[in-house]
Amino acid sequence: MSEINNILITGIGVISPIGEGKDEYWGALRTGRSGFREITLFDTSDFNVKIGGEITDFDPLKYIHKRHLRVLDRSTRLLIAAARLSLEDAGLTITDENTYSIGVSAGATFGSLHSISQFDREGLIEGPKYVNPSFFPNTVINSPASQVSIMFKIKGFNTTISTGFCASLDALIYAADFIRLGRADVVLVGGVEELCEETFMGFYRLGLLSGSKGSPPGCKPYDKNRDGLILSEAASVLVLESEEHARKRDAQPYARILSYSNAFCPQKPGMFTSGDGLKKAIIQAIERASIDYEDIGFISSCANGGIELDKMEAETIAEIFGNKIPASSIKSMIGETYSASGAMALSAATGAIHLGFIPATVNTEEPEYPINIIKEGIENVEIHNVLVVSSDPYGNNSAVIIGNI
Amino acid sequence: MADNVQKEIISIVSDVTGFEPEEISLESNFYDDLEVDSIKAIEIAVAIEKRFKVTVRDEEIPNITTVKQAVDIVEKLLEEKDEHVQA
Repeated sequence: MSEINNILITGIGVISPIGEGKDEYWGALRTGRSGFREITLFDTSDFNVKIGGEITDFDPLKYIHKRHLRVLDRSTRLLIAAARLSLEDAGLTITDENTYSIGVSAGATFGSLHSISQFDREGLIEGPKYVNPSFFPNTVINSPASQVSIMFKIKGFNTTISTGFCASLDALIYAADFIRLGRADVVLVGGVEELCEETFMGFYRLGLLSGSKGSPPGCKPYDKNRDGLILSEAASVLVLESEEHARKRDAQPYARILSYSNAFCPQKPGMFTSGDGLKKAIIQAIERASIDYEDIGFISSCANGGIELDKMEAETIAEIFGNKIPASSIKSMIGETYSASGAMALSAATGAIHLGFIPATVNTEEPEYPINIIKEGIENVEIHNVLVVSSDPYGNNSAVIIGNI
Repeated sequence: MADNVQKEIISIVSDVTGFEPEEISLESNFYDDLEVDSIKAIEIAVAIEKRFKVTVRDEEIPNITTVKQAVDIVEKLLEEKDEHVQA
């Protein structure tokens, strides 16, 4: 059985509103470029909010042969593209010899909503007998991860985790356990969500979107004037690999998994989840990493501009770290990518360690909480360890610490 | 008529499989040559039923392995439909 810290990140694939591929993504994060624009994927005329983190220049034919493309929905296309980029980045070839020791573990929660709606609509209009069976697989939430395995002929385990905001950090935890227990050498860990009318309407009707009450929309994590999140879409896949396997094939690792933990904190009726679960996850992760609190270069937070989530997270960070450790939320640039958000944050944190920068929380002007929020990006800084956290309103909390090589 | 049926079936098969019409012949085997799986087979059958307004029996679908067999079956079903209308 390997130790946790013998697991390396050897490849990164990203498809996002601020760039395609790791270099564009890291570049955008360093310059503080945000990816919000008027939504064109569906008609927003019935909504006060018309912007989102839409990926506008995505050409799936760059990643998927047109013979296979037609029946794959947007989520699946995004995840396959990110997976292909990650495999290319890792220089990993899947063969008959290694395929059974390679797995796929992905976070996805709302990804199938649009496909379910379309499938149902066809059945209602044409009659159940005439629904197109080829679109049926898209209606299940494990379709994107499964299609990744089919596309790349990956025959080890295949898992989808649907814990909302925490899904892709939980997918990493699940994958790392597989490697640690010797059941896999390599796992493609990722997360995906697509922007669609159905998910957008859900967030809008819940009043969670910034601008839904008429003010100009803007994602301002921790800001006194924040009024909600900006919904977005993205996919990211990281190649996780046992150190032994990576060394044997002479892979160039970017970072190392140091530790992880998650904790569930039940929500009380009518109340937002307390910070107890997040606190437990963070403290456990730090203890398992055998590092001091001061060794954390920055906290990659999950604050998205939401009133309650930001408050809970900021208060928890303040309680554990005071204002010593810098905290930054890339959601200020990429928006809320939900189940993909953990993978997006991990890919960003990997870049931060590899290139030596701390991304900015770009729109935050007047922080409400006494924590060290990075409002302007920092360059030329040596980052040894990054704590990546995710929490959701219903009680899920996950924490992952990655470190330099 | 036969030419039209053949052309339209090849067009449907092309749409579903992603192979160009020129790559599809009467002798093409759905499973060996055109990467058709069980789901795509049903999709082709549903598209044919919609286009020609005929009913292909579900149990017959696995026995249709080549484009020619599909064309023959559709022509037979269309003839039966005509006879039924004339009667």
